[in-house]
Amino acid sequence: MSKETYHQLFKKYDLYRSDIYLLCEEKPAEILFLFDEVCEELSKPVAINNQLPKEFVQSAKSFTSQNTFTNVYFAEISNRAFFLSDLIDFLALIKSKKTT
Amino acid sequence: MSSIKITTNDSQEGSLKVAFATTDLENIDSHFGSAKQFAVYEISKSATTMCEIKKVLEKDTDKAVALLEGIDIVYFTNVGAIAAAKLINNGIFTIKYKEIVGIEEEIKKLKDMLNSNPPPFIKKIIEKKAS
Repeated sequence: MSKETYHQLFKKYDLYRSDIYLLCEEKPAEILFLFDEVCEELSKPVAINNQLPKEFVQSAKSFTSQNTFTNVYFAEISNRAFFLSDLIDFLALIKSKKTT
Repeated sequence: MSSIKITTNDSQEGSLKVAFATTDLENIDSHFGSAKQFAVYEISKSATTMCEIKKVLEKDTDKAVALLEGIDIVYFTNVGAIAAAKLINNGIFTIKYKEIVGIEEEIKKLKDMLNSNPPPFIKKIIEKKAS
């Protein structure tokens, strides 16, 4: 993931951050597709993904490689929201660490 | 829209009703919006029954979603945002497989999952049906 993509994604995450659970109810398709997009990014073999806890990358790789258990687990929109919410928090930590 | 019932089996206890968007009844190979038919299976820990082929005769998202009433999970190769939202709002879990996957293979994996450690929401579906 390039730095530009990283920043673009962060902005996108940040946009959804405050109301990600509300979005689950009101615009579930947004969570559905945002999660797909994020997993694609996390599955790329690039340096920035190595800064993330391995659970994020492993889950994303498992999802993109069409693992049945992972796909069934993430068929539940709230599970996608939990994942995105945790990732947003972690990305926020990385960002704040870099700016301090 | 029409539905062809192949067999009439009593609902199996602890089962999931799963629909696969398919052109050949062997693979998950259709986009939800352009699917001409859905193969419906009832999958439990001990048995798998192909119970219906739901035919889509009209390209209409609302009717396609209504056709899948009673389905727990629907598989396809892709879906549009509006259709995805409608499916989710109707309590149908969606699973997208970008690459074509065999239905039989997927059923086996689902069955293995039911027999090992299904995710909590699958347990909820089963418990809800049992009550």
